[in-house]
Parts: sequence; C-alpha cells; structure tokens
Amino acid sequence: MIRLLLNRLWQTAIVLFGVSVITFIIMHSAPGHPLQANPELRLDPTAVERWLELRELDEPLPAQYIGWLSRMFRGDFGKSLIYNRPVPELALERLPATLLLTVPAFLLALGLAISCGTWAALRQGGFVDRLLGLATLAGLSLPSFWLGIILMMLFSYGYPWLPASGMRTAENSSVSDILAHLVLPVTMLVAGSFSYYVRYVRYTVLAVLSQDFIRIARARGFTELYIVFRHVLPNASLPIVTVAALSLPQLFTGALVAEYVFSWPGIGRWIVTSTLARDYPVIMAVNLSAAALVAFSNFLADLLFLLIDPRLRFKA
Amino acid sequence: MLTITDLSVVFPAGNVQALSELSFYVAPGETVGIVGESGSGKSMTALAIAGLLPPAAKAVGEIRFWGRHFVIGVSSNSDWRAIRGSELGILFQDHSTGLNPLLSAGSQVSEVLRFHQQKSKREADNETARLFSLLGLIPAEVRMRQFPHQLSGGMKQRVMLAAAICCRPKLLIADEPTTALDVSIQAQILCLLREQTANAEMSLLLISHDLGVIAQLADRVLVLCAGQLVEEAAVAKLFSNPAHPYTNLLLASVPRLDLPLALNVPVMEDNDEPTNGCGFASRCPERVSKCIYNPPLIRLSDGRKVRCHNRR
Amino acid sequence: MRRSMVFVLMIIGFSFLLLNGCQKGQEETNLQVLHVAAPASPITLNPLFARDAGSLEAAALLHPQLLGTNPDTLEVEPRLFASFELQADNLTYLFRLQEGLLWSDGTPLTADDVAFTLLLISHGDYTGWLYPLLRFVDGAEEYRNKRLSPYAQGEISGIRVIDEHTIAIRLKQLHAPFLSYLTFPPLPAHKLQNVKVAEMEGHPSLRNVLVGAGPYLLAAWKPDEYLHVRANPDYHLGKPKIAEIYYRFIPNIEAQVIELLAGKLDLLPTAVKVEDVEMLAADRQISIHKNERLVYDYIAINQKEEGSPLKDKRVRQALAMLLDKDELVTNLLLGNAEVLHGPLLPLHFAFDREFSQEKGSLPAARQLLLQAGHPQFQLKLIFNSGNIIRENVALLFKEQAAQVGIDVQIHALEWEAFLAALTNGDYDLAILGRSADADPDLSFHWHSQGAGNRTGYANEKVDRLLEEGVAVLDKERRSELYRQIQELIVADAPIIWLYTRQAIHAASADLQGFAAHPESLFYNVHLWSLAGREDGL
Repeated sequence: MIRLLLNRLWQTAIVLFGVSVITFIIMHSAPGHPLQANPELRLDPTAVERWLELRELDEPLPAQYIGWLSRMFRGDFGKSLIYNRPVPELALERLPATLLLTVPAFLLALGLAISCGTWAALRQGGFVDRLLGLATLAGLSLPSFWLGIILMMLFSYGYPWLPASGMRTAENSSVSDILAHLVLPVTMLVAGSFSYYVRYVRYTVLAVLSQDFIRIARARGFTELYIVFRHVLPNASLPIVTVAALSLPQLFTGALVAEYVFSWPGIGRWIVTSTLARDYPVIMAVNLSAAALVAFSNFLADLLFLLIDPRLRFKA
Repeated sequence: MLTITDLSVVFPAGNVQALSELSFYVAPGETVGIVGESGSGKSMTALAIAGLLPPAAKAVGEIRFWGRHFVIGVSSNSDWRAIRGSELGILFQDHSTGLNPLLSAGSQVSEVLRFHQQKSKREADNETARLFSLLGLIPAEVRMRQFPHQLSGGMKQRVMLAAAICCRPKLLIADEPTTALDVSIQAQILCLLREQTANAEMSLLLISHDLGVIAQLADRVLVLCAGQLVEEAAVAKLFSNPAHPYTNLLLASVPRLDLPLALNVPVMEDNDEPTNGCGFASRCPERVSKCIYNPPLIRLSDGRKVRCHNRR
Repeated sequence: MRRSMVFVLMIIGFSFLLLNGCQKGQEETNLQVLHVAAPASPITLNPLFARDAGSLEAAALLHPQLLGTNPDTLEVEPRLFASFELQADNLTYLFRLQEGLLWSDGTPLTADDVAFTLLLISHGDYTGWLYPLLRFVDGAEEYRNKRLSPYAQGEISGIRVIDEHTIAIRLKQLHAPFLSYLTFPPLPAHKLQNVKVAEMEGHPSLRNVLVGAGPYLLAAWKPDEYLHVRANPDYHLGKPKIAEIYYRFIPNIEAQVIELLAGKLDLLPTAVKVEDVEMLAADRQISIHKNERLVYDYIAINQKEEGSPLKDKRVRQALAMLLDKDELVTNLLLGNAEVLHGPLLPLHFAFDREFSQEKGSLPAARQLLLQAGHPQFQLKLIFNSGNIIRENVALLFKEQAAQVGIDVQIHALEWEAFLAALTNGDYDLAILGRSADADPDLSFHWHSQGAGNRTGYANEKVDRLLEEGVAVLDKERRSELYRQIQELIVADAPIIWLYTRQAIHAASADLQGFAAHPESLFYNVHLWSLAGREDGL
C-alpha cells in the first residue's frame, strides 16, 4: 500500500516534469509574446521591452524555465501576465462556480446512467432499452452546443421560465435563483455525459449478467433487486469506476462549451482565454495541475479497485 | 415429491427441440440420475424445474413440487422464487465461475440463509461455519473469510454445495456436479453428496453424462436422447441389462481397462436435422424401417420403460 | 409512504413559489437598474494599463475623462478640464480643471493628480499604451529615459502645475492632434504616490478602482460574471439618472439576444449581428441604435516575399479593382456599413465623400495584370475562421480573381494560427480589421516610422506631408493635406480597403438618452434613463 503510493508519487513526479518541459517548449514555439497576441494593440516598443524585462521574459528560454522551476519548488505558481495576479488566486476565484456546475452534473449523469443502463441491461431489447439506444445515439451525435442553444430557445425564450446566462442575478441572490441558473447548463452537461456513461454501464452490466454466478444467484432464489445490488453492480463497478475516474479531472478543468453557451463564470473560459492570450504562467500551471489531476484520479481509481476487488487486493 | 408432466422446450430461433414431452417423478429421499450425451436435454430439464429457462426458450409442461403446482410459461418468476434456494437447491457444474469473485466464501453461503430464513448475521455465520466443517472446509473460520480466487476447484464446489443445501431443501438438483474436477476430488464431492442427501432425507436429481457417477449414487436412472426419455430403469437393471440401444452405446463408451482403447469408443456422430422419427435412428446399429416413426414409451414387464420399436 | 409523497410534493411546490416570488421581487425593487451585455469580461479596471476593448469600456464607467470628443465631429470637448487654450507660443496649453472636483473618498481632485498621472505615463517603468501620446510633451522623453526613481515622482520640464486647478503642458513642437489624446482619466495621487510604477499594473486599488471620480462607483466585480456599479452622487457632470448598472459578461451572442427579448437585458452594445437587426427591430420593446465607428476592414497585401507578383504596384491596383464593394455592403452587411476607398474614415473631418478610386472593371484589372507580365498566378488568402462576413468576402474575392486568371487559395485559420501566419508572413493576402485615430493624422499606420506600420509602407512624399499635417492647426489646410496623402497612398495600393462597419446596438425601448460614441459605449452615461420605470427606492 505504502509502496504503491510511493511508486505512484515517483512516477507522477517524472510525468509532471515531462509535461512541464513539453508545455514550456510548445508554448514558446509560437512566435512572439503575449503583448503581440492582439495585433491592433498600440504599444510603444520601449514599453514592450520594459514589460518583458519586468517579467523576466527577455531572458533566454532555459533560464526562464529554470526560474519557473525554482519558483515552483517554493510553491510559487507565478503571476498571470494578463491579470497581474497570482495564478492560484485566479483559479480559486473560478473553481467554486465550476464545481457548482460540474459536480452535480457528473453525479446526476452517473446516477442516471447507472440506473438506466442497468435497467436496460436487465430488460435487454425491451422498450426502455430501445428508447435508451435511440436517446444515447441522439445524445452522442447531437453537438452539445446545439442542445444548449435549443434548451435556451425553449426554456428561456419560448417558455421564459429559466435564465439563459450567468450564475446569479446579483450578489445577494437567493439559493433558488442560483438553482434556476443551474438547470439549463446542468441539463446540457448531463445529456452529453449520460449518453457516454450509459453505454458503458449497459455493456458492463450485460457482461456481468451473462456470468455463471448470476445464474446461480437466481437459482438460490434471490430477488432481481437483491441480485442487482449485491452481485451485479459491485461486479460492474470496476469499469464504471474507471470511466468515472477518467472524467474526474474534467470536473476541475471545467465544461468549456456549457460555460460558453450559458455564460457560466467557470474555469474553462479562463483557461481558454489565457491560452489564447499566451498567459505563460497560467498555461504552465493549468497543464501541470491537469496532469497532476489525471495522475491523482488514476491513483484514486486504483485505490477503489483495491477496495472493491479482493483479487487485486491479495495480489498486491 | 416432484412430478414433471409433459415438459417440452423449444428454441424457436434455432428450430431446436431441446426436450419433448418429458414426464417423470422423484420420490422423497430418492436419488434419480439423468444421463445422456451433451445436447440431450439434461441441463434443460434442471433449468425448467427451477423456472430458470433462458428467455429465448419456449416451454410447456407442468411441475408439481410438494403440493405446489407450477405451469411452465404461466407461473411467474416470483412463484418459482418461493422454492428456489429454500426448498429446491441447485448445484451447478461451473465451480470456477459460479461464485461471486468479490464476496468471501462464507458470505455467499450465509447470504442464502439470511435471505431465506431471515437469520441474523451471527446466526447465519454460525450455521455456515457448521456446514463448512461438515463439508470438509476446514478450518471453517479461515475458509469463510477467503475469496473464491483463493480456493481450489474442489473447495469452491464444496462452498457451492454448502450454499445449495444450507436451507435443507427437499430436492437438490446436481447438474454435472463433479465434471470439471480432478478424479480424487470427484470422489470426495460424490461422497459428500451421498452423505448429505441421505442424512437430510433430501431427494437428489443427479444429472451427469458420466455413468460411473450415476452408478455410484442413483437409485433410478433416466436416459435422455435428443430431448426424449428413451429409457427409465432402476440402476442395477439398467447397468446389467440395458434395454435401449442408446443406453447400450453409452455403456459401451465408458472406457474399460480390460479392452484396447480404440475398439470401445464408438463414433458419436452429430445428430441430424430433427425428424419425426426416433432421435437415435441415424446412429442406431439395430435400425429398422419403422424407425422413421417415433416409437412410444412402453413399459416392459419388469417395470422398466423404454422407447424402441425393437423392444415390443 | 403516501404521507411522505405529499410532503415531497409540498416541498417542490414551495420551492417553485419561492422561485417565482424571487423573480417578481427583483422586478419590483430594481426598477432603476440597467442591465448591459458585454461579450467579454474586463481583465482590469485600470484604464492606464488596459489592453483590451472590454476593460476600456468597463473602465469608462468608473473613470472621468480629462477631455472628451464630440460623438459626431470628434472635436475636443471640455470634461474635467473645463477649459483649454493654446498660448501665444503655439506650444503651451493651459488647462483649467472644473472647480469642486472630488474623488469618491472625499479628497479633492486637483492639478496635482493630473500631473501625477502624466508623470506615471511618462515613467520608464510604465508599460501601458498611453506613453506614445505623451512623447510630444517637452521633457517627457528625457524623464522616461532617466528613470530617476521607481515612483512617479520628479519633474517633466514641459509640465507645470500653476495652482490647484490649473496645469500647463508645453510641447516640443506644435502637434495638432495632441488635445485629442487627453481623453484618459487622472488617477488619485494620494492613493498611488507610494506605489512603484513597475507594480502599478497589478495593483489591487487600480484593478478594482477603490477610489474613483467617474459617473459610477464600483459596487462589485464578479470576474466572468458581471460588473455592478452604483451612481456617483458627486460626478462632475451631474449624478447619473440610472441608479445601478449591471454590466454582464455574456460571451454567447445568442444568449444576449434571448436575454434581451426576455427582458433581462436592456442593452446589447455594438456587436448585434446584421442578420438579427430586422427581427429585433420588429419587437416593440426593442429599439435599434447605430453609429459610425473608427474601425475598418481591409485586405492586407504581403509585399515582402521575394519574387512575388504583389511587389508590382500594377498587380496590387488590379487586385483592388476586383471586388464590387457597394454590392458587398448592400448584400453582405445589409447596408450597415460604408464603402471605403482610402484610409480616411467618414468620421474624420478630412473625409472626402467624393473620393473614390477608379471604378475598376475586370477587363481593366486583366489589362493591368498583362502589363505587369503576370497573366496567371496563385495567391494565398487567409482570415480568422468563425467570422462569417470575412469568409464571404474571401469567397467573393476568389470568385472575382478567378475571372482575371488569379487562383486564390482560401485558408480559414484559428486565431492563434492566424496570428502566427501574420507574424511569419506566411500569406499573400489577409483579411483584417484595424482602428483609426480620432484625429485624421495617419502617421501611426502610414508614416515610414509609424509604430503601426507593419507592412513596411514607405513613401517619402507621404512622410513629409504627414509631418506637415500635424504641424498646422488650421482645419482647412489639414483637410487638404490629408486628402493629398490619401491620394498618394491609394495610388500605391498598399492594401485593399473594404468598408467601415457601423456599431449596431439593440436596446430596450425604455432606454432614453443612449447615444453611443464611436470610441466609447458609455458616452454621457449620466444622461441615460429608463423611461416608464419609476424609481422604486
């Protein structure tokens, strides 16, 4: 257990170092610098020079990278070149809104997918199964952008029940106001990821259902519900945990399309604008955190595997 | 007391007649063996009795089980559930995949007790421990905590046997209970089966392609061929004097030490397309022209039943 | 079981009531609140360091201007500077601040604040966009180069505070557009004196404007959500009529339109799509406003490639003849633009409505190409993907070019790739937009030393005339000069001018007094009001 953890930490450190180097190289391979990202900006050349100098961007690239690395080791993620504020501060400012959107959407999509997928697998070829097949096909092929616009047209314009953009009406908004703002973006996110998850769930549950011990559990006179919860779902949970863990980093990097369509003040928009604006410290921090999150999610999935499956537990 | 009347199972998709008009009974405390080669419908019979036929199968027939009456295709799943696991235990062949890999051996037995007899966890665990010791899973406390992947094939089969008989069923259906096991383990499991059924006055429906197994345990034997009952006889009579040519063939195909191997294994050809005639006709050494018509099941003077034109 | 169902239903019902109640409540108490959409969130509210349009627009709500410009004529108007006069030496301007100006913390706003701001902008560590405008002040360059202190202290020889309300600024030489540069706000010296200039860009008090003197004061800034501002009772032009403004950042234009139609937004500024205008105008609750802007679209021509036919002036002239710009404006922009033939815009006093390049024809263009000895060649035309109008321009151009033997390859590039292609010169033609100054002075883009002259355009005669143009004050004379300059530049065909688009705003019909300025959305925002919405407070 401890060895596994240490092993993982070591591997993660190497991966993160690699990611930082690659990000740094790619980031700087584009010509020019952040102040040139807007071609119409009227800046005096001396001002540009001084700006670069003050931010140590005039130094040779290896020196810049080493400077960044040494700051990282002191826990300093640097200041955004665009916002002139510490990167963690900017990220934390947007993280609550992001999690408020992505976590409920994730839980809802996963919960719905597990229940619907299991149902469809139990009644394979039945009405629900066929309906679900159709719905997931639509969900997967319909771009989420369009779904968002359609939802907005329907429920903000056709039937103006729900707000079309933003997270709240004002600073002192009530909980119900925020909930009303949540409905459409969450629906859009759920529709997208549900179709993705439900196919997995249905497939895995079907695979488990075809196993002998399920037939035998039936022969022991257990009710279907008992079998589903005690025997089918735990055995189906390994692949589902994998898929869920893979989407865990996305909870933090935001849901860009939904954030754009519904003007949600999440982290995804910030990441994209920062990337387009060549905000070097932000790009580095975001890529590094994303890589760390992926590593962490995988580790979490491994831990869950150990918890669920005794075969792995005893092997380790 | 189990009575099966006119049980037929058809798979419409493959146009396969798995069982046709099978009728038999199992008396209390009796061990009835069912033999036949693979595909003869043995396992279908077991599934039909438990109401566990695959959804693709179409079946008709009636089953009476200790005063309960089931009409196949009419009785609901919950009707069956009332007897499954409690009054009717089933032991399957697949010891390697028959246990849930995520649950400990003990819990897979005790859950049956807790489910059917509403026992507390402690009561169920005690009962399981007792059963484990009885079945040679010792030390029981250790075995109960172990997971299927930590158990040998024989031990797994014992665990499954424990789960099947823990509620003291009136009838145990054992479908090829020893087929996938080593010979030495086979003997142990058969021994246990005989002990347990005898002690608890349990009826046993033993399904096997292995005549040796049948000979050791069964009181009475049913021979199935192509979904039909072709012979039914007390075990001694069947082995000493088989009436049906198919039974003959089965007996002859048991490897014998006193004869060279090559001679005594007749080639089992694939069954042809289903015909109206005798299902064995295409392979029968005593075939006559009448065999294109299906013979009726007739009772011989010594009480045996046989389905063959040549035995009239 | 049944009882719990009833309970759940009651909770659901109750929460809906709550929800509806809230919405009604807001409508009733927030009658004097204006909701304005913005396509992008500001990055800073610090006007001296803002580098994007969103930040500048938002900063205009919170900061006053030293001087303003008239929205129609772009002539300089008094603001904080109540008067301004050029002394007899033709170099020194004397500015008098309006009396009784106050910062929002009660401190008087004086000439010292103005001087501090000018020092700050001229300082060697200042990295904002305003310094080029102050280069013309006597001593500013020396001050910048010396960099004696890290703070905005010291003296610029050309700047002299005469008294609390008066400041004199002396230029190195006469520079006609100078006054039009002074549209930026002063900053509070008493708050920022002790901040190093190098740290000013990210300084919290500037980013968040804790002390202001603009029409509105900051109530809350929720990044990527909205800017919430309250009327400044001490605003020097009078307390704004609208009590509060929510400046909401909505990147999705469709959502903006829906929110406007649903009555949750009162103003969609500037970027209303031309194809939406008709639909919005049909709504009685909505009125459409339009105004000219100081921006135009053009096709840049890359003349730096060795051996490129584009090095030949005749080829470029031929290219300029290909598009029927009138048709472009009528069909593509539905009339919401004006055809452009040269660098002067309709808003410039020097603009010549009669001026048009030779009405080109395809045979004439073909003739020119043959003369130049380039009967057939390929060109790569790039534009930023997602811009439908520019995409259509590109397609139209390709079609026309094919008829004179030019094979145009169209490349729609993502913004990053587009920038890279521009920087690397990896294009022959590129569709771009650019902004022009309020003053018709064209030096920035067309003087051979101009900071914005990235195509390397150099014409000695143009340089000389441009220098003359800023050295005279007489408008008639300047007009004459700039028209001459325009003739010369257009004859060189350095780019292909397309059109100048109007800003199209959609507003609630209740919004009164809204008249956008070419350079500022919130022009005279203190005069705006919401008719028919009584002040509920």
